[in-house]
Amino acid sequence: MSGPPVVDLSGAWERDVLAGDLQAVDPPKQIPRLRALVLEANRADRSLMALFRAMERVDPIALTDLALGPRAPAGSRLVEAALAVVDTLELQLSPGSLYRRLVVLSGGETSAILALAARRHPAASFLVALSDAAGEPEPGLAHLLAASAHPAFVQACWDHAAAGHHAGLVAAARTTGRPEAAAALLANGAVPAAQRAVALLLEEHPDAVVAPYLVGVWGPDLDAFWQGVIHRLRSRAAVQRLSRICGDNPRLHALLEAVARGLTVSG
Amino acid sequence: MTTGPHRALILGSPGRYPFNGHLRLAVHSGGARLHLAAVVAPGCEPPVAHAATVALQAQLADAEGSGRFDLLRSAWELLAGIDPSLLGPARGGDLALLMVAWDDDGLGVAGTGLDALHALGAQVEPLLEGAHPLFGIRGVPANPPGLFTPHEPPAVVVGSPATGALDPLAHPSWPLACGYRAGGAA
Repeated sequence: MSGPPVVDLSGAWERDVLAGDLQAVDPPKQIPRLRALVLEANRADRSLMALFRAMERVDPIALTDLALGPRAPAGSRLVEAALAVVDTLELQLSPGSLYRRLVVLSGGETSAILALAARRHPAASFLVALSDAAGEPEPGLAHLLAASAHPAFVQACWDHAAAGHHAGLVAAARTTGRPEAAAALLANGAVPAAQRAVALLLEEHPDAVVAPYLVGVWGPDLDAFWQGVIHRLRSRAAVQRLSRICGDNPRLHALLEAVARGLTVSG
Repeated sequence: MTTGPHRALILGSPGRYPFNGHLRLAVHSGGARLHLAAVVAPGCEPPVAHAATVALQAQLADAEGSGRFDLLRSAWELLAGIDPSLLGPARGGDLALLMVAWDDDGLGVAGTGLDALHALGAQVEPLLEGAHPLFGIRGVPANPPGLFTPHEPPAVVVGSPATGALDPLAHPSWPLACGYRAGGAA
């Protein structure tokens, strides 16, 4: 049994191939040599973009094998080049499998993979599991931000809430101002996280219409929920916003007034 | 004779926002009390449904009367007088309403857009099913539907909307299937 071909990155053939010149290459017959080149270039932190871009024109199947196959090397250069030819790779492999494989090959730096997958497939359910697989610090956030202007945003909120991605949903509510993120948390029983999300909406998105979505998932009895929001507010303006939407329970308003007194005017 | 308090609840609907367009309201007037639950514009986006509930609640909050019959009559009159355009795109045609009114002499149950009533106590028991003048299609009725007077006034009456009610047995409890959280308002 022979070992892998010896690769000299300074060799003429290697230089030409890495530069995207495939005139001297017959991909189906030279897959082992190409694979060895990819392995060595990836290890040497050399760009594979020109090669992959050339390969997608010449032999997309061989490209898929080189970039994603079982013997593809993990590393940032490979992932970077694969993302550059993702249009072609998506024709060869289902998006879910493709991006999961890229996460495995990434060796840890997954944010670009997740962002691209979310941008290209904002309605895709595979992004929920991918958020976990990619080790996203606030799982779901990349997907939710990418989907925030898409009709699938609400479904994505519910999917991520069911997957336990509470921090991602809180961050998404804060960034997008969309109350559906808080509603999804509440619908899935994540009450403290929903209260955090609502507090942030009240603090940072004065125009967010919150109460109707909460009533829709929880019912009209929101007093106990609002109590948990009050102690998370940090500004008088947010306290006043809550005061306008929380109904007419005198105990709740007394609590709001007490909290408002404890906050600085500038707060 | 009944001293109350009594409570009206309406079952939610299947879907992402099971309690969209739900409201509850308590009214005290003279020696009578009224508690009602309603759902209006449930198929609309939550802000649209919520605006309809706010309008309906504001209108019905003015109900008054010295006894339970007067109070119910007043509520029906107020309902008939509301501007339908305030009740969502269906102009109140999707309304389901359950009212329980009581005074020292007894309790009356009225409503629209319902097809079953259950009594909630230690157990859940059917209160009224099948054909009854109280039951009918959703919407603001042209004339007040029939009144039901239970022999033993239940603490909680649960109404099933005439269409689109969720299955309470699929929920942890009947109150939760109505979006009722103990300790909340109204």
